Amino acid sequence: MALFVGAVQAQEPVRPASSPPARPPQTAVFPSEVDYVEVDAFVTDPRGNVVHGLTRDDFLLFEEGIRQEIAAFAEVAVPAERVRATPIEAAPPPRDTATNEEAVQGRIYAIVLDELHTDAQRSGAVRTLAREFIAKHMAEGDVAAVVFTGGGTHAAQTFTGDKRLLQEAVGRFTGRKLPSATLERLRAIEFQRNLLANEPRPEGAPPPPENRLAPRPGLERDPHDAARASAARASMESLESVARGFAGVQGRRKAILFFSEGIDYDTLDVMGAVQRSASVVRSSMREAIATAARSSVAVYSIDPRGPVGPIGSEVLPMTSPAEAAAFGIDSRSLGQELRLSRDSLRRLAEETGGIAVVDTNDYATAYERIVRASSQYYLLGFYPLESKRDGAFRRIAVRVERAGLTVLAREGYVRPRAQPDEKETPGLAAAAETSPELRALLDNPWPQPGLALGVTAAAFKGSGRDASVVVTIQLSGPGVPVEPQPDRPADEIELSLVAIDRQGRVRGGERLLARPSAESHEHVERSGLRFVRSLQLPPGRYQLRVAAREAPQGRRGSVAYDLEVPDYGDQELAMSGVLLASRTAALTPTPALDDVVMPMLRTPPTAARRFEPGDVVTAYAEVYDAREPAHETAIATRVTSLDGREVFRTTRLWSSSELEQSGAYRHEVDIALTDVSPGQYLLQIAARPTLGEATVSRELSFEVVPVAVAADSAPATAAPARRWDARRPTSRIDRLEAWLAAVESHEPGTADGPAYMVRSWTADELQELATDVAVVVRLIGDPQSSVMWLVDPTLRGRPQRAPYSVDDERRFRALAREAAERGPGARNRLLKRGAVLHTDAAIRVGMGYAQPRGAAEPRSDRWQVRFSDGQQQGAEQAPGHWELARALLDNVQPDPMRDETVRLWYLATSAFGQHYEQHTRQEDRAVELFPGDANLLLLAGSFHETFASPRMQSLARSIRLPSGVSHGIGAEQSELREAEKLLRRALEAQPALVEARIRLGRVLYRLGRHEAAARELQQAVAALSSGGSKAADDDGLLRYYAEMFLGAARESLGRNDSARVSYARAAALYPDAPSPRLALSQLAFRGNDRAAALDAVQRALRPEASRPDRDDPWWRYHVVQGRRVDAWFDELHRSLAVEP
Amino acid sequence: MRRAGGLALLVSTAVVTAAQTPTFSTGVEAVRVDVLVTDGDRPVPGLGPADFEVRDNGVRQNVSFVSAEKLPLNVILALDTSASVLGEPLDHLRGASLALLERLELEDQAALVTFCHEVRLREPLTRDLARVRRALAQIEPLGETAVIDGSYAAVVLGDTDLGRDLVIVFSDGVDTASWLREERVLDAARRSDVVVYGVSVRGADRPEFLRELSELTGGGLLEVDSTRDLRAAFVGILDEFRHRYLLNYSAVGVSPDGWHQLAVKVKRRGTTVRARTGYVAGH
Repeated sequence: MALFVGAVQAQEPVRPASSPPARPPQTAVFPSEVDYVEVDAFVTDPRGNVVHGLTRDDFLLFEEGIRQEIAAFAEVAVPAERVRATPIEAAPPPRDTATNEEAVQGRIYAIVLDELHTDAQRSGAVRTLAREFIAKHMAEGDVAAVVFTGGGTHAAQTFTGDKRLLQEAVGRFTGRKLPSATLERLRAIEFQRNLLANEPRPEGAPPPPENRLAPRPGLERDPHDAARASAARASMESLESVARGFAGVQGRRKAILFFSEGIDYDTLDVMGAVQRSASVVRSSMREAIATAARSSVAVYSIDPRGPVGPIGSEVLPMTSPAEAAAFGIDSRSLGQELRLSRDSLRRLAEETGGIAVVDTNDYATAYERIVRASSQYYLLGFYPLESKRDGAFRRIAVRVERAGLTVLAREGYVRPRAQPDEKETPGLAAAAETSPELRALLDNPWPQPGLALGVTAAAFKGSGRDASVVVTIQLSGPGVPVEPQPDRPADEIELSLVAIDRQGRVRGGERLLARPSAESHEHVERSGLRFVRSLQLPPGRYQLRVAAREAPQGRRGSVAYDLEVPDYGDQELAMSGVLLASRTAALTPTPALDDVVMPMLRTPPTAARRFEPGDVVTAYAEVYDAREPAHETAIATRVTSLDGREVFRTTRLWSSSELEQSGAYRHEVDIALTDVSPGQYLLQIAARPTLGEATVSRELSFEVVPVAVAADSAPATAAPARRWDARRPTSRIDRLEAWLAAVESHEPGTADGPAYMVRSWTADELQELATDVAVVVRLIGDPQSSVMWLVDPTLRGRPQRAPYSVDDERRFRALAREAAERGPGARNRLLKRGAVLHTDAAIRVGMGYAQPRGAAEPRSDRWQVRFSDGQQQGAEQAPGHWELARALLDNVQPDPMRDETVRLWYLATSAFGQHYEQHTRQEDRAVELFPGDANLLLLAGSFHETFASPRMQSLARSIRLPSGVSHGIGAEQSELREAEKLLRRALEAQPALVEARIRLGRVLYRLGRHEAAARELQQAVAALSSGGSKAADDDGLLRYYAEMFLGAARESLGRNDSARVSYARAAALYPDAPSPRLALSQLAFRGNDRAAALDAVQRALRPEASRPDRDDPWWRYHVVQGRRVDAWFDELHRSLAVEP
Repeated sequence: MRRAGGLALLVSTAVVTAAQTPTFSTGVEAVRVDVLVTDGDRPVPGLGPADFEVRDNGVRQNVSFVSAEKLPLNVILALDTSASVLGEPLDHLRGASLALLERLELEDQAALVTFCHEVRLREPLTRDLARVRRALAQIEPLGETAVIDGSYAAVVLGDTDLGRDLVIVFSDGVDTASWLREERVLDAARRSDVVVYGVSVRGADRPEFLRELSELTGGGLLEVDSTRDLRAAFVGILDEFRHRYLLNYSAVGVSPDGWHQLAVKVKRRGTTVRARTGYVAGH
């Protein structure tokens, strides 16, 4: 259920207005030559805003002061909108598959937690800071790793997109910084002094003078010098190792977040007066910076100390200042340490193109800046003039030839050495014979796009302590190259799978080759290929890495999947992972199917999580129950939509005598997706023994996609409507052209490729599109009209220059000419079909469809709120298809108010909104346009009546939205009064519209006007008993409502006997419905007839009547007004067909 | 207050028929009041009839009988199983209910009513508590909340049997789906003997209906911060209920019909008395 809300009135159409200039294409080609150098440049204006739209010519790039030619250039804008924490956060549905589909968009972060340079007391602060970044600033498609500097180079958590795993790793952090050098030296001096003071001396001899403790070498030095130098080196080596790991990643923005209090080692103390290892520390720091620069990775150093000095345990009074001064310690010494440590953090950041978050408490802003710098930047590439391989550091500088702009870029790079770097990370010992290309991919934990791959895994109880992990790998059809030649079989596909444990060791793996036969190539192209393997793994956490390659073009892809293998041996009650199979997925060719899986399912499991309506999905899980004595276990399987609507439920009671020898119940359930509408769903399997209170459950999500789309696409994890996605426009005019083609191709009432394509556009893109369509529509009517000047009707003033080029103008005119060729009705046809296209995109592509990343600044005025049981479940920004559809229809000529298609559109969409509780608030606008239409007035009245209901009033109290956004639900009484007005108008327009009379009666009753309510309802009952209206009543549905409401009104008037008659009639119409029985019971109780009261309650509640399909029309009174939605949509689509 | 069934005590010319149909022959009412006496948070034990002062519509009555622990209990659990309890809250709710069942005696009975938009009698009053446990295991959260309909059903079901009737209504939200009106259900509760305890989770909406229902029946409303606290709440309610007193008196000097305001006092300093606020007589 959803409610669309906004700061602006919902009915206000999106008007064409001038828009910011279109952004340049976001594609870039990344050369991979060794001598190619890549630099990311982040450009801001004096106010810190990111500067867009710069071109190659705006940049100057220097190496050692000599200008270089920029060979590759791209403005990269990974949209940041999903990075930002929305004010209302909803938990994402649990995913049990991983794909490499969105890999190219994501950022890669290494979160390096510097244990060696964090005071133990600030451990909590570091954990909080790191967690905040993970929770609020990492987006879908981003991956991160957590590394501890004290733990060698092993990652505490290798790269993953799973925030839960990252948060857990951060939770293990504890700082163990050495005490301050200054304080330790003071302590040493104090200790020496005490020793001297207590030295045995002849009796009567005077105590030693204060100044006897003369400076001497041992006391001048930092007592922890060696440990401090070693810690500094370890931290820098960790950074270097992480940076080196990034070297192979090209074309994706990568960043190191270095949480540290900095290196407090005086690297300028070359004489070794206090600290003797200055040169070693300096060189390790330089090496780290050089490696980062070479890998083109920016270091963002984050100091958890904030703007205050070294406080807390480190501040101790200096007991003997005079003496300390003799050793070079004074009141500034601690400040000097602080300065050193902060300088080190600044240096690391500045020389790698990062930002130092030092001396500030405003981490949120800093994080936003880090994400922005990782999201919106310019990528410059050049070929150095000299291609020496001497390992020398080369200073580079990037400037922009515009005043006031600041450029952040790395300050240099290190030329490669002739010999391979001996510190190169050894690759993973991948499965034997794996090709070097796949080995390279398996070494990296981040997904590599290219060949589309999907993977899922489920752990089952195995033999001994090891679990059997069933891994299903699927290659999408269109990505699999199978072009059979007459004389040779189709091409080879190589696939390699490894399981890596937390220590980075390979614990299992396999290499597979597939050579689809010439006969099967069509099948493979349509359905892809599937591999199902099993691995025997001991309990623990693993990352499964899968890489695949096709031979002819050498395309590759990889994906990583995080998996927790439980210890099934030590649990009395446990559940395996869940396998899914489906009738459609059964058709996917499966060249490698493991024996372990054979007895589990009738058809192989699938990694697909998109199914068509009508398909039958089979879920399989094992429940391990070791409890004694004999008992029963209920295993329930439920499927619910994201808003909590249940579409499937079954519970099976197992007896412990049915346990397999392995101690498992093999639970298999068929879920028919008949009548399941497109959208995202949750599948939950839960087991509860009758013994004790423990339960175990598993959850996963899947999507139901419309048949028209699913048939068009790969069945695996590939996005639906691939063909249309392939047309994803790169410029504004391209988008308009794609839209015009989509409008022509779209089959109304389906979620086909065109609908999916426009659904993938962002709110900003739709806003631009509204302007562009307005221009085309104007050109169709008047081919001579201007393209280059736009008038925003919402703003008074002069026309504004349109954001189009001369070439755009030419294309605009050509597109308009082409559209106009359809004849005189071309204009209206375009508008109406366009409106229906966006309507289908909004309602048929489904609420669960993941909105793609949008422009940097998301629109903030349109929200949709998901709710269930009167409580908000979540809220997200609405993409704006409804507004665009309305805006298009507003331009229908000669007058939308006299247009039948427009009327039918409002009727169908209002009915849809109310029937499916997707309240888009069309109703008020509908009655503005069609003030005399009884059906629209009825829907508008019902809409306000529903808003007065307890569920919506409760929602209004619970709703949380960003400031400035209003939910638009009025107070109960005012909604009821509005409903009354509209329903009365509906009856004036059509007195025989009995449904309006029933609702009016109900509204009057709720307003406390019982006598008037009873009059209307009696009239309704009478009308329904007469011929005409009786036929119009759906199986007595309206009569039921009329009798129930009349009963309530009569009861309030003290006419209990006649109330009883009404309730009894309603009970006769729907004998299973409990509400009339409860009403009769309550009347009997008041009349002190306890026996009758009890009898009626028992009949209302009788268990045998409590079947899942039991019906009480009262339960659907708030949606029933929209029940003709399908018929009205059919009429709407028919009316489109008769347009020229 | 009259009782349908064997506990209906009728003075004077009363006749208790063998059939379960009550017969009332005079205007003299046998009234039963379930009372909780506390000192601070702790129930006060060991009180006798002489310790109580009961006024019925302002007229002092002679309390003839005090009994507390010996009568078996009828515990009716009315639980909200709407979509909002899905997941952990349901586990907590189930755990709390099982803990309560554990503490019932041999002679006690329990019943399970659940409500989402639909009210369901999962298990009628029974001494076979295993049946109730099994019914608990089969609960599936779904739909909206009809707490008013659910409470009504529990009150009516509880008002029918021997023993003392305790209804525990749990809901984590406000009513969004009931047919019955709040005031009618409160009226029914006034006419019944059951003691209702409401349990709700603190949230945006105040559980006014549950508060009123529990106060007028002499029970109480417990607001917990989290469903984790349900076990303590359920067990606490049962303990408290076992420490209550059951007062009987024959109403004299008052009108045989209509609403009777009740005032119960204990002649000891520092004690607090909780009892229903009145009853409806006659008809």
